[in-house]
Amino acid sequence: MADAPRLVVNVTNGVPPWRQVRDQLSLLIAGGQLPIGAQLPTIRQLAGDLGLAAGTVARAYRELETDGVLHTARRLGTVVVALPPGLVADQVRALTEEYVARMRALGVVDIVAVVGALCQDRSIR
Amino acid sequence: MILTWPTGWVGNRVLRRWGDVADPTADQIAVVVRYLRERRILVAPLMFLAPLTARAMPALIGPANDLGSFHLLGSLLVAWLLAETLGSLLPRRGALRTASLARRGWRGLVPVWAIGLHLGLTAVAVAFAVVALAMSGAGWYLIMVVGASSLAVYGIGWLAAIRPAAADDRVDGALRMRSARVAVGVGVLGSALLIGAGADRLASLARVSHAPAWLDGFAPVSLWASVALLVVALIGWSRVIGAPKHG
Repeated sequence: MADAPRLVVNVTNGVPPWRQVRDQLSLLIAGGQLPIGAQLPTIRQLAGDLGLAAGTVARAYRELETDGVLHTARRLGTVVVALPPGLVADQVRALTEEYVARMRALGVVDIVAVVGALCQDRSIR
Repeated sequence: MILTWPTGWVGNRVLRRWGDVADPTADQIAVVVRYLRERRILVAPLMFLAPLTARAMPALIGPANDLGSFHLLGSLLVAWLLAETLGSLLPRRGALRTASLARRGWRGLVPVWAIGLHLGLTAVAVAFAVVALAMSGAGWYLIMVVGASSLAVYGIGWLAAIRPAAADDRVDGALRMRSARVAVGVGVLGSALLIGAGADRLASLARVSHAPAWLDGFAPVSLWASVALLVVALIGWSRVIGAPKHG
C-alpha cells in the first residue's frame, strides 16, 4: 500500500498554520501527489491529527475553494477539482526557462521554430 | 498490569499481526509501545472500578434484575470506551505536527459481515430480553446491558476511525484496525452470552406454575438456539480478531 501524502505543520515558525496547510496542499496538488478528483480528509480529521482548531483547517480549505482548487459537496466531501492557478504559472515559467537554457547550451538559435514544429507534431501528446 | 506491561516484543507482534509490517523499525515499535502504555494507564483505573460497579448493581436495581457476571461485561466495555475517549482527547504535543491526507472511515477496519453478525446477535438478545420483560415485568436491566455494550462497541469502533493519527501510516492503520476489530469481536461474544442469559431467564419463567403454555415449548428452543449462536459467535470472534488479509 502506497503511503498517502502528508502535511507537516510547525506551530512555532511564525507562519500561520492555516497558511502552511494551504501552501502545502497547493504544492501537493500542483506536483500531482494529490491529483484532480482526490478526496481530502474532513476538516475535523485533519485538525485533530495536526492538533489545530477546526477553524484553522477550515480557513485553508476555504481559501483553496475560493481559488477554485477544491470543491466541497455533501456526499463526496472535499475534492481536488483544479490545479492552483498561481503555482501552475510558476511551474510553466520554470520549465520553459530550463528548456530555453538547455537549448541555448546546445547552440539552438531559433527555439520558437523548434517549439512550433513540435506543436504541429500530432504524435506528441 | 505489571505482568502485561507492553514491551518492544508486544509492539513488534502488534505491527506484524495487524499492520502486516514484516520488519518493523525501532521507531515504529516505539510508537506502538507508547500507544499501548498510554491506553493501559487509562484503562487500568477504570477496569478496577468496573467490578465495584458491577457488585453494587444488584443492590441498586433489585434482585429480579440481577444478571450476575453480565454486569461486569457491560461495565468493562463501558470502561474501555471511556478510556478510548480519554485517549483520543489527549492533546498533540510538540511544535512539529504531521498528518496523513488519506481519508479515514469505518470501511476497511472491520469486515461488514462482522458488523452484520454483531447486529444480528444483538437483535436476538434484545428480543429474548423483551419477551422475558413482557412475561415477568423484570429483566429490563438485560436490555440496558445489551444497549450499553453495543454503544461501547460502536463507540470504540467510531473512535478508532476518527481519533488523531500516529506519525506513521502503517503503525496508525495497525492500531486502528486492532481497536475496532477487538471491540467488535468482544461485542459478538458478549451478545451471544447475553442471548444465553435471556434464554436462561425464559427457561426459569417456563418453570413457574402460571407460565403460558407456549413458553414450555419456546424455552428449550431458545436454550438450544443460544448454544448454537454461541458456537457461531465463537467462530465469528476468532475470524474477526484473527490476522486480517492485507491487499
